[in-house]
Amino acid sequence: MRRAAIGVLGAILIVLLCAGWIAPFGYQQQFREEVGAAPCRQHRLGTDALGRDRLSRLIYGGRISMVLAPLAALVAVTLALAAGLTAGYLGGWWERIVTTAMDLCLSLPWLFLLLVVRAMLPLNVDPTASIVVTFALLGLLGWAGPSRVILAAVKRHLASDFVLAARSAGCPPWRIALVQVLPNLKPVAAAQFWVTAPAFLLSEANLGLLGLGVAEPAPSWGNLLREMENLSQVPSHPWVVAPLAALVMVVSCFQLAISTGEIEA
Amino acid sequence: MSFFAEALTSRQEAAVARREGVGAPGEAVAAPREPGPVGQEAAVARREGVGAPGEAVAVQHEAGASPKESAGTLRDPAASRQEAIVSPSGGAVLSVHLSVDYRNKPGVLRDVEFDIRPGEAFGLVGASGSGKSTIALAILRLLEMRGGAAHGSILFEGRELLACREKEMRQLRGRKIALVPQSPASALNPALRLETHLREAWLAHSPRPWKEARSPVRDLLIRLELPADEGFFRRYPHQISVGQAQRVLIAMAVLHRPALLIADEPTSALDTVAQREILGLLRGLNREFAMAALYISHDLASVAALCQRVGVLRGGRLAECGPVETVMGADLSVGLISPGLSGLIHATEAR
Repeated sequence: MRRAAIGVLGAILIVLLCAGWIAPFGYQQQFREEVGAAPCRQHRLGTDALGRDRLSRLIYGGRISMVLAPLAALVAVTLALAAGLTAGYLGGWWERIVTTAMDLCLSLPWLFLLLVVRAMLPLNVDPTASIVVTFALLGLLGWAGPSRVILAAVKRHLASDFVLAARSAGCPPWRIALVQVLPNLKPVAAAQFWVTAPAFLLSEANLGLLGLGVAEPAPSWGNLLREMENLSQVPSHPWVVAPLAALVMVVSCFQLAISTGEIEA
Repeated sequence: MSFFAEALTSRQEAAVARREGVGAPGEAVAAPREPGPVGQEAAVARREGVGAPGEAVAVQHEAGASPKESAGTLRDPAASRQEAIVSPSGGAVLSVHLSVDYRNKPGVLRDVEFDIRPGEAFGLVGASGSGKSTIALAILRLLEMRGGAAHGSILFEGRELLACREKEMRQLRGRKIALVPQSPASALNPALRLETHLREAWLAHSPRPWKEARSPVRDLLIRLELPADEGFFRRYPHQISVGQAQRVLIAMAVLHRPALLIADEPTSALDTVAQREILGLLRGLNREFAMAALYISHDLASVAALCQRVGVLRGGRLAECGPVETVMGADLSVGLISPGLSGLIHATEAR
């Protein structure tokens, strides 16, 4: 199951990265005579209110979401590794500072915090800047959860027999942290990455749904979901849920990849 | 040949060497209390035809020591403190006078006192939980990793370890005092290749790059009967046997030729054949590198095979201490252990 999930994710990623060749039209290309069209041979998922091909925007939007959410997760896990490792190893006042910052970050309502920070930025921000800002916020604010797990793992390893053996051999602290402990954090960090990446995908979707994510005309799965704001139209226009279906499939694959991996481990 | 028979042979050889050789100059400076490293004496005497370091100690001990001392009983703490003033370490490489408390268990060790001469193998026996490994960690000043605190005095080559700063201790660990841990399976880092383990142990105390050290390390691995090919270097701990893992740990420990090797139950995780091999190896290293050894075990047979003197931990105190033959009171040739010691161990285990 895990391999299948990773396979599906890989296939989706390849399709999204080849958007330029696979997508039938550019994501900005308008068909003014076919505004709000139903699915047809030319537009498999119809067109939106501005006459843009939905399938093309779904593919291009997926590229932004699927590439940048894992990148943001990578940033968050890297920060978490740095914070957890230094706090665990140095201990003392630095550990107190890091754990207090963690507690503060975790006790804040995460989505509202993102909303506040995003709302402080100009709304008419350039699309590229909006992409960078959205995912940078996710990455920089999402370190606390993974950091707590990593700190616990660091503490466990520091009390292990192999660290005792390394210390008894006279190895200096920084080498113990980097050579002995860090490689053993790889499984924990990987698990945190697999948990965080889909969480960031959903967070971006939430921000996009509220109009605070990636700015138009750049597409993302989050801002494509805004078409669902008018729920009464969904039964008569079921193709507008395509971004939601894609999001659910990708997040499910992420969850299957990590959960069955844990069972197998 | 059993452990006891091997030990006896070793001691008989030493006795022959003592009868035939003469003491080397300067040996008399060692404190005349206990016999020196018998196995080593025999080896050196055989090689050079003269008495080995520690021989004059043994002769003086036999000639002049009181029956109480020769019986290996505990020294009077006041007398030993007085002796420490005259001679900080009394010729010993290590002098320990130690009490240890854990956070939730105070008084784990109380006034445990012993010393180890250069080149001597000293055995420490006792039941599980009697504090044997605690002593090993206390000597290395690593007890805080297990939540313990040591009080008293640990003199190593005349230097008070309990007063040393952490940086000074790092210079001593691995270079002057090395540890062979109890469980090879958990003491080797599962995420690192064997070469990385050896490299880290090497770089901890040597400015020379690892590339230059690979050749002598290969020789050492061959000496320890390990494969020293590139494939072995690239293996992970789970890809080798427990016996091989223990040998790798021994290689890491003797890499810098320490003055004191602490072996904390190095054979407890091994089968009988591997136990025999590791004991032979430790005995060989003790002779070859003339390094003192603190051999911690609850296996009396291995202690009898390896050590010249032994201390018995009971109830947080060193209940007995002296030459193996005296403390164990055993007929080594047939492998019997004195009822007194056996009862002592069992009584402690039953507590």
